[in-house]
Amino acid sequence: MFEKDFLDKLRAESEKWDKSVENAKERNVKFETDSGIPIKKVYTPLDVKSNYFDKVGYPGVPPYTRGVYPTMYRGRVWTMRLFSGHGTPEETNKRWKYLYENGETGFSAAVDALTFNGIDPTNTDGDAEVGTAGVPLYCIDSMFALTEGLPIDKVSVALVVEPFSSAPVCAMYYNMAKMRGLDIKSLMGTTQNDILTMTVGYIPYRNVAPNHLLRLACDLIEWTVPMKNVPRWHPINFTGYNYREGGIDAVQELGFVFASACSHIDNLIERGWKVDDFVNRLAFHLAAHKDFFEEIAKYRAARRIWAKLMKDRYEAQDPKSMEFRFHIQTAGSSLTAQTPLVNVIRTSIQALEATLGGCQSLHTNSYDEAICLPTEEASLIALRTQQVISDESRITNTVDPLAGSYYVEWLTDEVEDRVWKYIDKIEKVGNIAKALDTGFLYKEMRDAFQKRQNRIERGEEIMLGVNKYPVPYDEITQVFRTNELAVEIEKNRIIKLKERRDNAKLETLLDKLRGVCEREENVMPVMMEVTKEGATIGEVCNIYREIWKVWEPPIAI
Amino acid sequence: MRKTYDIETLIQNFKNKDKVALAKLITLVENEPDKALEIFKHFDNSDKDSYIIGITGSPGVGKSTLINILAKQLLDEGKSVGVISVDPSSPFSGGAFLGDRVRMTEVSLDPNIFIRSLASRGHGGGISRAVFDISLLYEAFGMDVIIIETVGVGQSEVDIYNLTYTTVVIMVPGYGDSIQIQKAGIIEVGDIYVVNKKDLGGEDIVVQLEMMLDDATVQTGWRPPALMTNSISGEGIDKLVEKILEHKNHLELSEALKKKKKNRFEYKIRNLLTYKVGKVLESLISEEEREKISNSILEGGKYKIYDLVHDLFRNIKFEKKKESSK
Amino acid sequence: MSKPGVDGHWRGGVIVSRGLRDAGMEVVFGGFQNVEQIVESAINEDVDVIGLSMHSGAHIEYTKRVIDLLDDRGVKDSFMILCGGVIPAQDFPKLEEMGVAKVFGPGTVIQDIVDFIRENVKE
Repeated sequence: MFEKDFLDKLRAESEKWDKSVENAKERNVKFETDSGIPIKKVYTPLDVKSNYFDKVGYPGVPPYTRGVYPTMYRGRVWTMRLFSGHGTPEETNKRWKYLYENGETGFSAAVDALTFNGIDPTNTDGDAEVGTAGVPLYCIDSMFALTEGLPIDKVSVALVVEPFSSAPVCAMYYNMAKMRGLDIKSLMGTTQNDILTMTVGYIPYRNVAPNHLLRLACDLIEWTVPMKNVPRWHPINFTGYNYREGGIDAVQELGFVFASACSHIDNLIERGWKVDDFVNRLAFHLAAHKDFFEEIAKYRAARRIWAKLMKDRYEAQDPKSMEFRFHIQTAGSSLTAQTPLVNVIRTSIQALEATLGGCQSLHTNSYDEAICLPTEEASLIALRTQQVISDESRITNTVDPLAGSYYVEWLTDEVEDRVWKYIDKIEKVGNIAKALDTGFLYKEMRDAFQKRQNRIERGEEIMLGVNKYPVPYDEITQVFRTNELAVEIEKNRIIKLKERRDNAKLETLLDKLRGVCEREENVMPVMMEVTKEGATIGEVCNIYREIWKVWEPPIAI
Repeated sequence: MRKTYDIETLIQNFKNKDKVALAKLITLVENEPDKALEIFKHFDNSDKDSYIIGITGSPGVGKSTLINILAKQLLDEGKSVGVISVDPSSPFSGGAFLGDRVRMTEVSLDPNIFIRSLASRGHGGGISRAVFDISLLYEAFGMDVIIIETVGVGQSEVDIYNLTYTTVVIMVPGYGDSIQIQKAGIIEVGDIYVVNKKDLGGEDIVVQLEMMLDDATVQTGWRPPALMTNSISGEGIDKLVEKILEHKNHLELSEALKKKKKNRFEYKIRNLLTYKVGKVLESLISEEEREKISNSILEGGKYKIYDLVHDLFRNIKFEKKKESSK
Repeated sequence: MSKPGVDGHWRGGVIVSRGLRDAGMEVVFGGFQNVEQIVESAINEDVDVIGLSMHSGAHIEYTKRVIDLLDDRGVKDSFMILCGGVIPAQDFPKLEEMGVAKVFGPGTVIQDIVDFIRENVKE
C-alpha cells in the first residue's frame, strides 16, 4: 500500500524506536483483544500489508470492507429497532407506539418462552411464563392486537422466533397482513429463524432434531424469497449474538454464523435454486461487545469474507449476493445488575462500535437489562443513545471513518485470517446440523463460557461493580413487572378463538400438515391455511413433535 | 438440617410402599454401610426375585435415553421398575455430576418407577459399592425389574456382569469402532449388543460385531445378538425387549439363571468379606506403621517392600474363635 | 439442580453444578423439569439441597409451586431450597419468606454458593 522507499525508511526508524523503548515499563496486564490476539504498542504503515484496492477499496463494491452501500448513513441512517415485548400483545402494542413516536424506525418482537417453544398457555409446565420474558404470540388474533394502528406497510417488523416456531408465527403474521388489505409482496420485515439460537444459545423445550430445524428454516426462506411470495422479507438472520452471549469470542462468532449460512445455502441449492435467487435476502445478527476496535474490525472482516465466500465458493453473479447485511444488538452479557446506570455508558460505547462498523439495524440494551424487562424510561434512554450518535455526533458525515487507521486495518486482516481457519475447523465436523448433533458446538460453547467465567473470577476480565470496586447487589429504583393476568388473558383469547373457528375444517388441515411433515415437503403453504383457520402455535408444533419426535440435545457438561 | 433416620419407622413405611422411605434407606446404605445389617434384618425370605438388567457403554452413547424408552415399555406392560444410574466421581475433588436422570424425565412421574443416581465414590471407576445393597432394597420393595446403568470404564463391565442377569452393551458408530469392540473383556461380557444412533450409520459396526461374536467362545449356549436402535425415534426398542426376554427364558430353561443368582451373591460375599477383613486390618495396622514403611522405601529400600509388609504380620495372628460347646 | 418451566437459559445451572462438583459435592442434574418432576427427583434422590435456576421472570410462581408440592408430600422440611438466576433484589425477601434459604442473584461467585452449602448443611 505504500511506496518501497518510504517503507524502507520506516522500517529503519521503527527498529530504532523499538530499541529505544525496549525497557519501557508497562502495566502488568495482558495487552490483547478479547479473543486473545496479542497487540503491539504502536501500529504503523509497516503493519498494513494489504493492497488498498484488494482489501480496503470503496463502499458498495467488492471487497465491501468499507460498507455494503456507496453512501451508507449519508443515504439512510441505520434502522433503530428496539427488541421489545411483554405481557400481552395489547401491552406490547402500546410500548411499540411509544417507541415509534420517539423515533424508532423499525419494530422487533421479543416473544415469550412459550412462543419460542411452540407451547400453548394451557400447558401447566410453562403457564407461569406467559408474557414474562416477551410477548405471547399464540394465534392469529394476537398478531392483530400486536400491530393495531401501526404502519407495518411502511415500517419493517422483525419477528424474533426460531425455526421451530418460525413457520406458524410468520404465517400468522402474513395472514393478518393480507386480511388487513396489505399486499404481502411488498411487506418488509425479518424473521430471525436461526437454528443455533434454539439449540446452542439456549436449550429448547421439547423441540425436534437439528436436521428438521434446518429444513424448516430453509422452507421459510424458500417460500418467501425465491418462490417470490414475500420477496422483500428477510427470512433469516444468522445470529452470532446469542452464542457470543454464551461466551465465545469474536472469531468464533463469525465462524459459527458463516458455517451456518453455508449449510443453509447448500440446502437451498440442493432444492434446485441458484444462489442469486435468494442469497441477498439472507442477513446476519451480530453482537457489539466490549473490545471496541476488535468488534469494528470484525464487522469489516465479515463483509470481506462474505463477499469472497459468495464469489469463490458459490460463484454468485449478482453483486447484490455479495452484500453482508447485519443487525446488531449491544452485548447484554457485558452489563451488570450492580450500579445499573453504568450500563448506559457501556451500551453507548457498544452502539458507537456498531455504527462505526457500518451496521444496517441496531438494538441498544436498556440499563436494567441484567435484572428485568425494560421500563418505558429505560427503553427511551436506549433509543436516545442511538439518536445521540445519529443526530448529534456527526460520525455519519463520512463512510467508514476508521479506514486507514493502521491498527484497524491490521486488526481487520488478522481477524479475517483467524475466521477462515475457524470456519475450516467447524466444516471438518460436517454441516451445521452435524456439528450440533455430535455435540461439537456445545463443547465449544461450554469451554468458552468456562474460560470467560474463570477470567472474570480471577479478575483478568474486569466487570466494574462485580469484580472491581464491588458493590452489593442492590435494589434499583424500579423493577418492571409483567402483567400477572397475562396467562388468564391469553387462555381466554384462545378459548374465544376456538369457539369461533371451524374446528372440523381445522382438523382436516392439521391432518394435511401431518402428511406434509411425513413427506418432508415445504410446510409454508399448508401453514398459511392452517393459521388462517385459527390454529394455535401449540397445535402446530405438537404435530412436529408427533411426526418427528422430540430431540434430546447433547448437553455438554 | 441433616436428617436423622429412625430405622424402625422407615422400615414400616417402606413395607407400605412409601417411596420417601425407600429413598432414605438408600441414603443410609450408601453413606453408612454398617447399618445394612440392621436394615436387612427386617426382611423375611421372600419368594419374589427381581429380574436384573445391566446397561453399560461409553459416555454419550445414549444409555439413559434408551433406558427411558425401555422403562416406558416395561411400565406399559404393568411392571414396576427400579433404576440405579451410576456416574463416576471425580478422582480429584470427590464430587460428581449425576446427569443421567435428565434423560429419564418422561418416565419419572410414573408411580411404578423409582430412579436413583449414584456416584461411584472411588470404587473401581464404573460402579458403586452400594449397588448391590440398593438392588436388594429394590427387591424387598417388590420391583419386577431392576435396571443398573454404569459407564463402561475399565473393570466396570466385568463388575456389572457379576451383579446382573442380562448385560446389555451399548455402542455408537464412529468411535473408532473396531478398537472399541476389541477392548478387553467387552466381547465376552455382553449378552446383548446394541448399536444406538443408527441414523448415524451402524451397519458397519454390526457386521464387525457379528464376525467377532461368531468367533468368541460361547459358554452358555447363548449367542449374543447385535441389534440396532435409535433412541430418539424408539426404533428397535421392542426388539431389545424381546431379546432380553429371550435371554431370560434361555437362562431359566438352562438353569443358568440359578448360577447367575448364585454368582451375584458370591460376588457380594467376596466383597463383604474383603471389606470386613480390611476393616479389621485397619484396626490392627496403624496409619503410622504404613507411613513408616513407605518412608523407608523412599529412602532407598524399594526392593524391600515385600519384606517390610510381611514383617508387619509377624505380630498378627488370625484365629477362628473356638466354637462354644452347645 | 433444576430448571422449572420452559425457558432455556441453562448455562448458569450447568456452570454452578460443575463448580459444586469440583468442590466435592454430588450434583443430580435435572435439566428441564416441571414442578412435579422436581419434587419427585428430590425425593427419589434424597438430596440435601434443591437448586432452582430461573431466568424468565416467573421465579416467585415456580418457587411457590415447588414449596407447596413439597408440603403436600409431607417433606417440606427435608430439603434446603436455593434459588438463582435473573432475580431482582426486591424479590429476595419474598422468596426467603416462602422458605428459600438463600437467593443467589446475577454476578454471584460460585465459591459463595459452595461456602453457604458447606456451612449450612450438616454432613
